[in-house]
Amino acid sequence: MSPLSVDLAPTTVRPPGRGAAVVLWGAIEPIVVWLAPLLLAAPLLFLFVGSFARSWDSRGLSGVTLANMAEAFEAVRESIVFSWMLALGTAIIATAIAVPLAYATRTSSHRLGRFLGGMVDLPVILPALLLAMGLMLAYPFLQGGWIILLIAHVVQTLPFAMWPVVSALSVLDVATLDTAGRTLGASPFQRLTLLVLPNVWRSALTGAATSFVLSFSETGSSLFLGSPYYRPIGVVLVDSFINQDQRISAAAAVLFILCLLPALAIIELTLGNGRKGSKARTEATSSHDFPSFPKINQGGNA
Amino acid sequence: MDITLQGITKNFAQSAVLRGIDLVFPSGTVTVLLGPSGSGKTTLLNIVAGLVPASGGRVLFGGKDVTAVPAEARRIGYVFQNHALFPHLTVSGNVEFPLRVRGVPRGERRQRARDALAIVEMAGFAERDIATLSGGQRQRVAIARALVANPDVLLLDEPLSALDPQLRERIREELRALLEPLPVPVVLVTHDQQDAFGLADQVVLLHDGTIAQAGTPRDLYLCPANEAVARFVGVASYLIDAAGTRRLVRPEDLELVGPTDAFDALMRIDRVQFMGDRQRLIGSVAETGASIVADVSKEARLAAGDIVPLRARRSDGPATTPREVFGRVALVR
Repeated sequence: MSPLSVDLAPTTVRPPGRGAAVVLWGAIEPIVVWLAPLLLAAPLLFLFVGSFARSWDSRGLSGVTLANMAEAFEAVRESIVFSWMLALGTAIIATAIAVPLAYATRTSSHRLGRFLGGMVDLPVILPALLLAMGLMLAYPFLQGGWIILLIAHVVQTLPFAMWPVVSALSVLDVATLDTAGRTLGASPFQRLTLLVLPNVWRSALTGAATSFVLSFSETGSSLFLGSPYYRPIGVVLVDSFINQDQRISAAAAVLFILCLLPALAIIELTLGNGRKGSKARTEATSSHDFPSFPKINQGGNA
Repeated sequence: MDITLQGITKNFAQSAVLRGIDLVFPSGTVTVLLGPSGSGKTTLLNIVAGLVPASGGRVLFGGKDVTAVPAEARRIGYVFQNHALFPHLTVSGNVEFPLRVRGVPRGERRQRARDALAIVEMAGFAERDIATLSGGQRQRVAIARALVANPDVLLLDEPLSALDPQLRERIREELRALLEPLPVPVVLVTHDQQDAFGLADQVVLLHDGTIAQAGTPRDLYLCPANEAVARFVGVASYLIDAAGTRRLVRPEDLELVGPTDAFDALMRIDRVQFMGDRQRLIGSVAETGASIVADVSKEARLAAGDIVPLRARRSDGPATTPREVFGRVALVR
């Protein structure tokens, strides 16, 4: 080798005494990785198979029929329609509050703004039961109606609608963009609609879909705040598992999951696109801003 | 339209950041607010912009009191340190933004954006994504965006601080060429003396919330108001002359002379710094022990411990030269 050549051959350096740990981790890694999906998949598989079973008792499952599905559909049809409406209303209202609130908390230098932002997170640590009791005491005149359910669901899902937006605003450095908007003559409303929304709509959509899913599957407060006229699907499912044949309950659960799929698809699509977009931006910036370095000749004489 | 500041004060949590600033930023003049960190220069810029409310005093735009007017209602152009371009808009979309929020029709704002981009030599980049621009190009777009709505004042916050030294020098020249013909007051904040001298018609040196000195770059360098100003705008040695007065000597005012030539001072060298185009000698006057710094030719072969004769060059400016100040006999013998 010439004295000027550069040897770039990769060298593996293994820290002493770590060989056993590497081998052990190699053995348990597949178990750790696959455990969670398997734990989730097993009950889903049972529900799905059970919902089409002709009989399901202590001897196991047997036969195939669509009758369970038809019966379950009849039992949950109204609740599904109501829960769809409720979840849609919750998602729209929660997002409509979450975006300006997140913007205000990120750009406000006032303690009040930060305090309000902190208050929003409160339902995450408070049990749904407490929230339901509080709402019943605060608004007794709303009991038995759908409005109290809507309020409860908006309050409970607001943090989840807000977090993706707050995260997007942090990456964006919205405080600087907001200040730039001010110096260019934009009013607060113009800054929200022309600067913030175009940059966070994908995160807002993720938050809305999350809010929809959480509202649709909510049971904690709905058990207390629901009424015979307004029974969310979660309450009906609980009732079904306690009082009905488990094949019907399983079929109702499958219908419930099918209703959630569009929202889950939206979450996956928006998150996936967000990841792709951010990668493209990083690449464009880095490839342009930094000069290319001279290449080192890896072989032969330099 | 001139911008006038009258008795501006600013307190943050009982700590005074600005203590009664009186200034005029004349039209067509580039004023640089220079000072160390914490001197209050960015706060002053933000008070002019309306982004930070003054605790006291008045801000006048052409005689009109705008002290209580928020930033969005003042007619200002502001170029941020990180440019703050909007990532979801193209170059043209960014430059059109101030016109869009003012309700200017689409056709007119497209034309005005094109004109503003032409001024900063970015006309061919109108439809480009912001992410594909280099740092210098982004800065030009930010300037076009700040100028497109015909502001009453152009404000720039540390426009060169994020650039490496070679690029910085080139962009400084470009920026100077861009700012020079503007008919509005231009106010620029920097902590870098070279940027200040390279860009300014007028330099305002702030220190501890007050104006330490305001004047042309030449005034500040050659006739600094006090020792703090002298040291902030360049390397300064202070020596005592025959009359017992402390006098300023700049490194470039001194030159090495031969052993048989007449000299003004004998310097004991403590350290030699090679600067590329010259050498900087750091040491003391042999007889008095006063610290002194001299820039000499890069060819001279010198080392710590050497004692060398120095002679003062005659300065072009009003500052006194070491020969005038010290007098040969008084200084050396």
